[in-house]
Amino acid sequence: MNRIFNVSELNSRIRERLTTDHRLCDLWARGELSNVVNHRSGHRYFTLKDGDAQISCVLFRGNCGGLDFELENGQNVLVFGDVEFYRPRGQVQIIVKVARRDSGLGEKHLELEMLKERLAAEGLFDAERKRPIPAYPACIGVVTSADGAALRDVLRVIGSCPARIVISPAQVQGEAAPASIASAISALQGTADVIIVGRGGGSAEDLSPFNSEQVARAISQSTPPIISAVGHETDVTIADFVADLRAPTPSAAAEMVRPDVEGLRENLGGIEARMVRSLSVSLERRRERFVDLERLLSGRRMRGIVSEKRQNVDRALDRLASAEDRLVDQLAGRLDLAAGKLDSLSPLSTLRRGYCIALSDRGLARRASDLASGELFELVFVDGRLLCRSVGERADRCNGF
Amino acid sequence: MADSKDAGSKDERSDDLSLEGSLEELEGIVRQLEEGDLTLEESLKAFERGVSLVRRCNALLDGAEQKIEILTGELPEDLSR
Repeated sequence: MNRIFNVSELNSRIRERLTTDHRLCDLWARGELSNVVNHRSGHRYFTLKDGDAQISCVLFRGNCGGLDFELENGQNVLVFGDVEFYRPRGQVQIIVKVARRDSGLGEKHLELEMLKERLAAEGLFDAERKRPIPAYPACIGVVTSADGAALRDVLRVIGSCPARIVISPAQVQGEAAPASIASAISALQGTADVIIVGRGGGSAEDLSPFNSEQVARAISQSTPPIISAVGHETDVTIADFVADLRAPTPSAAAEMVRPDVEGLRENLGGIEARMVRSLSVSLERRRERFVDLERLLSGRRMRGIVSEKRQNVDRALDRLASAEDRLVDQLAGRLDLAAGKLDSLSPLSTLRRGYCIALSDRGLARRASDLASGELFELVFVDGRLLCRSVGERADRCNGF
Repeated sequence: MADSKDAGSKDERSDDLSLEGSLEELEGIVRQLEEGDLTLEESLKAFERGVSLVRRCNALLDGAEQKIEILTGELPEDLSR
């Protein structure tokens, strides 16, 4: 016996049937707009039609944010959403989540655009996330097919260089490619200082793994910076947007990681020259200090300074003896000052720091060449003098140290 | 003399320094020498360390040849030597 439904029950059953069909969820539909109503609630109602059929659509206010054009009758559009059954009116309709002008591009392209928008919104393409490529990597990782021309191009361009090259093979086309590329990238973590991820040219279908979310995530999560190198100059994939650097081709990527050996040699030469220069400047400065010392050592001047200082001290002492009490402290301070000056001018303080002075019969020996081979001279240390004889100049040191 | 700069402790690990690490250290040495705050003994030590690093880097560049490894599977025949 056939069951008799009331309308509510019937519509509920229809609704349940429609909404549990996954093929009617998250779908794209293409058609021409008619009966566009911009309701004052903010919701938009319209009909999507083609030559033979039509369906009602509703774009709720909450989904209008991403709308970048005004809905007008007669426009060709693409809508993305779920098929719904509106029970009160017994009407099938599309709950639209995204609407776009239809430029005739396919579904794949639309999905790609949506993924791109989503990842961009997450910040995966932000310039601040890009890390610098190391100039002198010790280990270069390469994620690509072991059999492809891309790998051979990369190895040829890198050529001989002071870096280890580690190939992490991946399947670069087909269903399994995204997972394979992602795991090849993660296998290089902790080993490579920079990673090239890519493949040679191919159809849009061939390059599609590099447009997958899985590859995009693997690139964004990599610790070493990543250079994307997919297809030819004109091919741009999501991997290129996420990568730290985009190379137009695998060969170009190799060019970017190859250490600049010639530049490095020049750099090293420059560093060596700077070290020699600054060391000789500092030695020259120290030598000048010895020249000052020599001036002090020359007997007359030394005696003059010492006797002058001594007289100052004596005068201070005289005055101290006859001074009133309130002057005592002041004079004692001056005495200290005078004594301190005497000490700092004396070569003794320099000797105390560990330097010594070579004296020949002709006075201070400033250069090794001031002393003839076999000549007797004195080395003045802080605690005494050594009588020495030169056995000749060493050939293996520059003068001065 | 107290060894205030760490020139002494770096000598032991000089052998596993990468090119990048060596260059970084060299830049530090040049800076120290140019600032001129080192004692005579420290400058000489820094200078000697610098010269040995420059030599090491040059040796790395001279001896460079392509070193290829593969993480999984065999290295394709045309790439192995």
